Amino acid sequence: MKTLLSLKARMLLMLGMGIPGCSVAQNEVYLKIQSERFKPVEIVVEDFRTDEPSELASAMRDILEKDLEFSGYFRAVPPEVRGRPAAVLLKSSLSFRGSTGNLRCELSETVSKRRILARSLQFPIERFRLAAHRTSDSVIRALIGDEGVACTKIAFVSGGRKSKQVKVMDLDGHDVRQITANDSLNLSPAWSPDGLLLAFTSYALGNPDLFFYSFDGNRAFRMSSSRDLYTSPAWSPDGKAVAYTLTVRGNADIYLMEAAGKVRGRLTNNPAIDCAPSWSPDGREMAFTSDRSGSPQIYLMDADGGNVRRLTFQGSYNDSPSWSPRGDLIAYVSREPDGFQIFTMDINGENNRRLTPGGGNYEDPSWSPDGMHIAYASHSGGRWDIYVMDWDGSDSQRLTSTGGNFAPAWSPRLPLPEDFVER
Amino acid sequence: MKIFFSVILCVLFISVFLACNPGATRTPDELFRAEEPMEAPAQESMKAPAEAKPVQQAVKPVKLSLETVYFGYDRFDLTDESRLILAEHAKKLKENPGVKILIEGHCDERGTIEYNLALGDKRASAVEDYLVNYGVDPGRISTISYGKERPVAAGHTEESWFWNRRAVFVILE
Repeated sequence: MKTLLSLKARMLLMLGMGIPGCSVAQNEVYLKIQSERFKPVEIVVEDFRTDEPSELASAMRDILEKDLEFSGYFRAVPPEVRGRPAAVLLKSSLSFRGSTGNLRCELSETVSKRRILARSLQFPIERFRLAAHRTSDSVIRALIGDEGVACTKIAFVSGGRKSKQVKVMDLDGHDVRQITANDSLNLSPAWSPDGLLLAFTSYALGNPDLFFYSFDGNRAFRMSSSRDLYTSPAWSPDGKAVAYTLTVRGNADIYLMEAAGKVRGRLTNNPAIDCAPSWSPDGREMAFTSDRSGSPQIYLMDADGGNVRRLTFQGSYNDSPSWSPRGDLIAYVSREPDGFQIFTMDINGENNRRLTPGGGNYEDPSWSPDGMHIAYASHSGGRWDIYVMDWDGSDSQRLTSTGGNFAPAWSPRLPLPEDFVER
Repeated sequence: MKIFFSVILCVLFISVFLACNPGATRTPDELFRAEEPMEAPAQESMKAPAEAKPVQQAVKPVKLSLETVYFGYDRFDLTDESRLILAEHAKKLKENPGVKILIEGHCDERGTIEYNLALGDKRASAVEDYLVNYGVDPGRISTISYGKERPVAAGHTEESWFWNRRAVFVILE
């Protein structure tokens, strides 16, 4: 059982006593969280050896290196930095048989030559990007002990005034796939914890209904029956229920339905707007937005709707709570003099930290499943696009560039497709 | 044109300000003529019903038209001006008993998608309640919220935000 890293410990990644002297017990992770100084591991990602010169090999190598750097755990370096060897070396070889590729990787300490990981992955050639992402996650698991997020995806909403569609892309912005295809508004995508379903709001049938889209069969099902406003679905961490906002005659409250669609009950009952539920990772509580005090603020309640308490007191507009998968932080959006900005706070409402630099609006924070990154939408670049940043606001990167992109939802870790074989 | 618009808007804001003072004189019928410079987007908003109700045939040319009403930032209560306009709407609707309407609630771009969807619904419902209180059969009224998803004014200024915080009336039959 992996223990949760404390807030501080997120930053504390450092090599053990220097790689060469680091002794590793069999079931321990290779790297220890030891000091307050953040020091990414220097890694050499060698060019892939391959039978025939291949653009695929260099493309995969580049994807892998980018993933490792994105994780925050690694810094890719050339074999020698100022006469000093990098800590670890990743050697890979790529071979083909028909339409199948085989990627063999070996990770070792550069000085002691000790092997840390040896793995081979068979994959359909057309899915080479996923094979590279998977390899990054294997390296991170071997060295850090954490599950990486390179194989996750981001769902988002894309479009203009007339129509907005739900799309899904890889974490690096590649392989954008359109999920909805209608002439209307499709909003608020939310992943089920197993990654097999997306819940979202769609106006496709003339009313803002709640739909579930199933990746298995690529079909969407309408889950709501009344002609009211259904928004902001949020799956419980066990996948058995969905909290959502139902607005009836102007009164927005949070309700709960079973994953099969049966309404289980009403969680809030207040004439004010109550919306945007976000579950704690243990499923016992929810953060949500309410304007019962006269302005939108973030509240917590137990998962049965009881024990409501207010979390935010600074600022006149706080919304879009998103509970970190590590459990220790809640990201949210707050109105500042220079626009809407993304903040985090502890779950007792303290230590409010602004993460975004201004120069535009920042909205819809969504955590990576390892709690190390936050996806968000911003029009700081002059139009709305999807970005990711580290949990502390550093290293922001833009993933989309078309404009008109909103509401990112980071997927859970997705299962490896059946036509992949890992040894 | 832009200066004209700005002047109108200033007059409008001053008037709204004055309206907050009991006893201040106001001319509500004048206020919302400012909508005219917004001709293009206003026409665009009339396309909405075809999208909102894809099953319906294209909306017939309508004799009756009901003026849009506007809201304050993060507010869904009706201004005195809106109440006067809505009283007129109620009268027209009672004179045309065959007409059914859809009230669309809209918001400006500030704030989040979810909160604005709920707020847009509150605006549409506030208008519906007012019309019902004035004797319009609730069976003739339906509401929908588009939150901040369908602005009529594309800018990121107070002017644009003002025009986007609105309840629009779509004549259904």
